Amino acid sequence: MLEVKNLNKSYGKNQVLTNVNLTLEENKIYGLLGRNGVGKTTLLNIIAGQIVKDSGEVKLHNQDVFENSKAMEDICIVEDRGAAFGEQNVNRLFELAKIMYKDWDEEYKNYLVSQFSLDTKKKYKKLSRGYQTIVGLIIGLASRSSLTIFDEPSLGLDAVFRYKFYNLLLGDYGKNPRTIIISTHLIDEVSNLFEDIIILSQGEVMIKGETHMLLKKANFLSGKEENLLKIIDSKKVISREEFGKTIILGIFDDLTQDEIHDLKSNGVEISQIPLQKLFVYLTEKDTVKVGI
Amino acid sequence: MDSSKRMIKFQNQWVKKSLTSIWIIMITLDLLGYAVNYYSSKTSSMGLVNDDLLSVAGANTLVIGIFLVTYGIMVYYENFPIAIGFSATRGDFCKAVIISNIIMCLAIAVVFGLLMYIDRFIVSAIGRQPMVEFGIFNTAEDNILYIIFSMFILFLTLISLVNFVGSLLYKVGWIKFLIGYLAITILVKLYNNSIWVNMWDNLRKTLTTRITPISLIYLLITIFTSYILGYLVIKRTNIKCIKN
Repeated sequence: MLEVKNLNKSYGKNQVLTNVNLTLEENKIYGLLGRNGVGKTTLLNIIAGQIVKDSGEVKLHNQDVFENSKAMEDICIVEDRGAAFGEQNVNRLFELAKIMYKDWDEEYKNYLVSQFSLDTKKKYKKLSRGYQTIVGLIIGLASRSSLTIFDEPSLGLDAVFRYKFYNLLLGDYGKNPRTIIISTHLIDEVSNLFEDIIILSQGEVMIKGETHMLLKKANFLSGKEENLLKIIDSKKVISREEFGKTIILGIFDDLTQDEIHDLKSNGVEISQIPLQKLFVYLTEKDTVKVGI
Repeated sequence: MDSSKRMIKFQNQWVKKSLTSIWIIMITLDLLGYAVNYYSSKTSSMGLVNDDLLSVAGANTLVIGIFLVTYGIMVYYENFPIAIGFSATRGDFCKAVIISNIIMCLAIAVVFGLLMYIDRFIVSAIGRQPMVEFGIFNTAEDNILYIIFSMFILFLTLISLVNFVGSLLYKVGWIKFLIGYLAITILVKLYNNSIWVNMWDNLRKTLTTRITPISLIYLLITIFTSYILGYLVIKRTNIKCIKN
């Protein structure tokens, strides 16, 4: 559905994206993860035609996205709008969004407004940070665009609104499947939403794969060092902690049934690494070195 | 509805709002002007004054000028980021701006033309000597359609130039724009001051004399060129207030 090929972008001398290659399938929820400043927002903004790429291709349904009305009408990006929305009242923003998005669902928008108890008569800049985010979320959900991008959708939202959004998103996705990209730092909260995960590191795609397959490879092994020596030599170790004679290894590699059996028979406990921890281990420079 | 039409509809939402404001301001100022001139002495007049001659509606040109300059620049600071943020293309945005500018200039010219046309009757009725000769047209001799057309072309020329300036300002910011402007001004003046003098002189003449077929062609070329340049500037412009 979406194809990104050899995408490059720099701001002055700062190279933000380097030869990014990605293929996204239709009707899936993708999690875009990466540490601050790795180029997540830049990548999403290029996909949505908000900023101009230096080189490379971004194609939606085999059509170049940039300055292509046909491709752009299937894309909605939700991000911090700040000053651009500031002087408008919320009702007017919804009116403008209704004009611009061809598949806009007015009834669903009204439902979302009532769900979030949003005061639509207020000016955008007079809303709290959380409610400003909610305006964007409502536009994203009600746009029904076949590619909907949420960049930091939980900015300023309290836990109640965050979970409400996740539930609404999942509920709507079930009824109206589409491709959704969510970029967030609150990984564990949304990890069950993601079908696929893309991890950006230093402007490049570090990992892309199905969430359950990635998590299947990510395990903590806890036991005595002598029982883990074979693993240390043969597997990709991404973390290591020691508690007396016990060590806890984080590995990111396939384990065969025989290996699991051997480990368990030697008293090694195996447990899955949560997504957020996996992300931290993979993207934290020093820890990655351990694995190499 | 295709995306170009949606973008035009989007832009016209802003035009409706802006036109309502400018019409209210123009009519209110005119009514206030007639009232002030009726009750005050001939030495203190409100409007365009030349010796004993007075035009209240003529002063609207100043209001319209300020409005068009502000609108032309604000289009890039308000509408552009919202439109692109709502997945419009820059090409569709520029097309919609041109169409909305034409509609707006025509709508303002029609109301301004009518106000100018009735101005001399009201000024006479309040006991003053009406001004009828404005260089570009004469309200006593010219057809109202000619007055409307002249003003439409001049308003469109102004907003097309402001549109280009607005796109540059958005792209490079005020400081770089002013530095660039000063640098070009100084260079042109140093190289050949007569170019500079002639340019402003031609502009002054165009804005104060009747539109001839030749000046109409000149104005149409200016309008066309300004919009093309505006598009070329905005074509590869990132929208602002985006985190990196």
